[in-house]
Amino acid sequence: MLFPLVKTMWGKAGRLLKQADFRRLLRAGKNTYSFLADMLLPEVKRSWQPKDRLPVIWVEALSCTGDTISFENSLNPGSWEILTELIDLRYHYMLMAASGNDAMDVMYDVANSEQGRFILIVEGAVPIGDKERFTIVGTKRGIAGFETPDELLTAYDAISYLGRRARHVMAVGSCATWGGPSAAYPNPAGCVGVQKALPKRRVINVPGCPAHADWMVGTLAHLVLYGEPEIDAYGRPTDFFGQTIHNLCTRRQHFENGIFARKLGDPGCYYRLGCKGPVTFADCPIRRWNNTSNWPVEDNTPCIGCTAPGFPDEMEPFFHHLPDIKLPNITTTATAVAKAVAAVTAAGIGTHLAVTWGSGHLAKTIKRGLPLRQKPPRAGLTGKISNVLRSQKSLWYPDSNGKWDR
Amino acid sequence: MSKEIKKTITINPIARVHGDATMTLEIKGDKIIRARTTSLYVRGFEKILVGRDPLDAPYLTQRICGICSAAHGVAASLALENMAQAKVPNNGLLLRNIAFAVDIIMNHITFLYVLALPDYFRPPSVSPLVPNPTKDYRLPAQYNQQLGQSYLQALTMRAIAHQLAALWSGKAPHQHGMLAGGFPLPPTAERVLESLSLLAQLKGFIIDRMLPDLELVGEFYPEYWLLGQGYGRLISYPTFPLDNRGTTVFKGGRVVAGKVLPLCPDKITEDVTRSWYRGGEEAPATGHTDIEPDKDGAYSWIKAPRYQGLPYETGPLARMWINGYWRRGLSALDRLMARAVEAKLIVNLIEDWLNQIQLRAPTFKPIKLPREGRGLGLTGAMRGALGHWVEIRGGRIAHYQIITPSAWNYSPADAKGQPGPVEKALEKTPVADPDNPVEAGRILRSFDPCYSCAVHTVTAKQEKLWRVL
Repeated sequence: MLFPLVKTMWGKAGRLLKQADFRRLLRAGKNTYSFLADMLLPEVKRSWQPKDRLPVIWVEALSCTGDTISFENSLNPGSWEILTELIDLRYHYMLMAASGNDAMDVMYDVANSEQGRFILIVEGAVPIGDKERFTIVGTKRGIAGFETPDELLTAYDAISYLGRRARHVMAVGSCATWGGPSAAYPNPAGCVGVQKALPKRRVINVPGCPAHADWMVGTLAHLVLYGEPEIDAYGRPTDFFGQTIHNLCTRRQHFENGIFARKLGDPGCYYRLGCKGPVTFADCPIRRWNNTSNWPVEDNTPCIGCTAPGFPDEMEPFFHHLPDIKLPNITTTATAVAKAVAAVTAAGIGTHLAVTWGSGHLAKTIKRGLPLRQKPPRAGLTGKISNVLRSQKSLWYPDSNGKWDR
Repeated sequence: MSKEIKKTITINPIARVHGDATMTLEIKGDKIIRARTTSLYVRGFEKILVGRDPLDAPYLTQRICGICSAAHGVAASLALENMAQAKVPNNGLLLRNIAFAVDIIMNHITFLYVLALPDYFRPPSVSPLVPNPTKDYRLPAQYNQQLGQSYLQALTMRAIAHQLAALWSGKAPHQHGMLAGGFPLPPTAERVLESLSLLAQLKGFIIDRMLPDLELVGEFYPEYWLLGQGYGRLISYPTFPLDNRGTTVFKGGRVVAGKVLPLCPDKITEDVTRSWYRGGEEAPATGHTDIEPDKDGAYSWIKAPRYQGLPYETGPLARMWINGYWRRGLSALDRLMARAVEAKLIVNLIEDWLNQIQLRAPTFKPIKLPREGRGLGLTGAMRGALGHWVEIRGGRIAHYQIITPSAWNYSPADAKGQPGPVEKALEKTPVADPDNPVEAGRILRSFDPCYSCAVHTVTAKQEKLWRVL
């Protein structure tokens, strides 16, 4: 079906597919991979000269480099195909050959000669505490246009300088989007997300700890081919972050039937062990991690809500059911903060449970007086069923209103 | 007497290392006489951990480092299990070892090909690998092409290694399988078989590509078998536990003047004479992280870990030397070779472990933490000796101290004026072109720098830094 589309849609405008069709493919989980690699990239390569590829500057602020590692985990398209066919990654200190002044010259050259054309990707939180001095990413090389006169280039300086000149700004990873673990209480370096550091720019947020390679590559492909994707109130592309983990979960039926895991390592729903799936927007259950090999709940551990704003403070403790949260009588501010924010998350989960309790299978099960814990099917069978479900889900497309057909 | 010009150069940022960093070299004539490595960012993870649920530590500490996340997860789990005196099922230990070992393979492939080897072979002319100011490439075209192919293959292989890690651990980096009390995912035959097939690809790459490639580099860059010697003192912790009695695959220990000596964790201290912290020499179990930005003579945010007051180098070379798998020398190329040798050993180990897994035996036993207690978790990580010291009070983390391998290697000078191992290794290195000291980059990278890890400890103001640079 897709082959004729590609042939007919390819025109002077440089579009392969209608944007809606492309987005449908982005949502379809692992199909995105093979589609991008097998069809889109060769077309991009054939019709675009290497010089036409959009230049990309990847700046790392305060982070663990996990998002770079995750980006390189993209297998199909592999990171080399992305670098040679989709984008022109000019500056990334961990991958580039040049060091020191040679490296900085590349960055300033792109910022000035490709002004308004390059894409800025920021990984890591932006420290703004104590005159933004907690992260230094290079030197200024005497270039004009900075707010502060020091020769050392702070992450904030770099991001505000490049952010003003970039065509798109994309924040990858939870640190870059909302501060993430770098900004966890007591936030020693005074970290904020990129959007706060660049209040006048629209920032495309791709959260996750780390962000999934598909989320980054898919958003990047959308930026390159169609411009800005549709984003939600938090700046996240709705194609990847439009549904909660809980809604897409392969173990949703366990929740509905009241089959809850009692300890880590049990099969069943992890809701009672602190799963943050009900308040976390991401498509991990259908996309799965690392070339579709697994995902946290199928690994018999709870979702820790790493794509949610406020991770990790609002999502802790990871292994405790939030409404039953027990806070010992110690007066550290960390717990006080966690208490306040956990209440919000708990309210979200609580409302959801109340609704499900009233209307769902859980209520029926309990009303009938059956024991809460039922014997789950054998692991092999569960695996097979979830595989079938997964393959079906990838075929479900949203209807004309953008709602998912369920 | 010839007049030798003294020159100080600063390289900022250093490309192809893990974390924003800079290096200041004093060059006299054609030799480095003094080197300082400084990390350029601060996060304060140990402060962040205080007040949190101890069970969260294995997940949260993984966020210290994206490339060696599993190592922190393992160390934190071991510290909690040590505190609870837990009996972890052997099957669980085995599975945790597998997920961790695969992450080590991923690290070694990424480090060697993406970070280190572009110093020795001319990488493909594609941005971000252009511009490339390095001129000292010696491999003939045919061998250069071979390494170029390996480079591309390595990009796929490292992703496959993480795919294998995620197969057991949910996702990678920041694996979900690293938990105190064992491993959450019971093994199934399908998973074991799929792992074996992925592992076969990794094994093929390491044996057919990685080892021959490094031998080629050794042949064409022979002086690096001598350069970057450092102190010649090595330290390593026990790695890959097999049961609860302390049996490990790789033994811990120290090497002094080529002799292997036993290790006592109580003798590890952290010196802050040249770091911007208050206090003197403190043991990590009770050590503080109080900053003093205007301290005289300080020049680094990294503390200086010392064993009996002496600086030690750590890494796969230490692990391989102590266990007798690589004892050729202590140079820059020895460090690279030890990594490849270790990768080969570990691939074989994973294969053994996968065959030893018992499909129906338990893998996880929840641990019962005391309200108050102390725990110590020591493990060998990708870059060497990693230790987590944790104390809980009232069921919450009250004190957390981490000594990472990169802190050992990138430590500043201490009270006695002994420079850190990397700074020592850089001394006396001949430099052909002082404006582009490719030799210093090669030696610095042979330690596999990870500043994300090294600087997790600090919390502070950075004013002093401006004067230093």
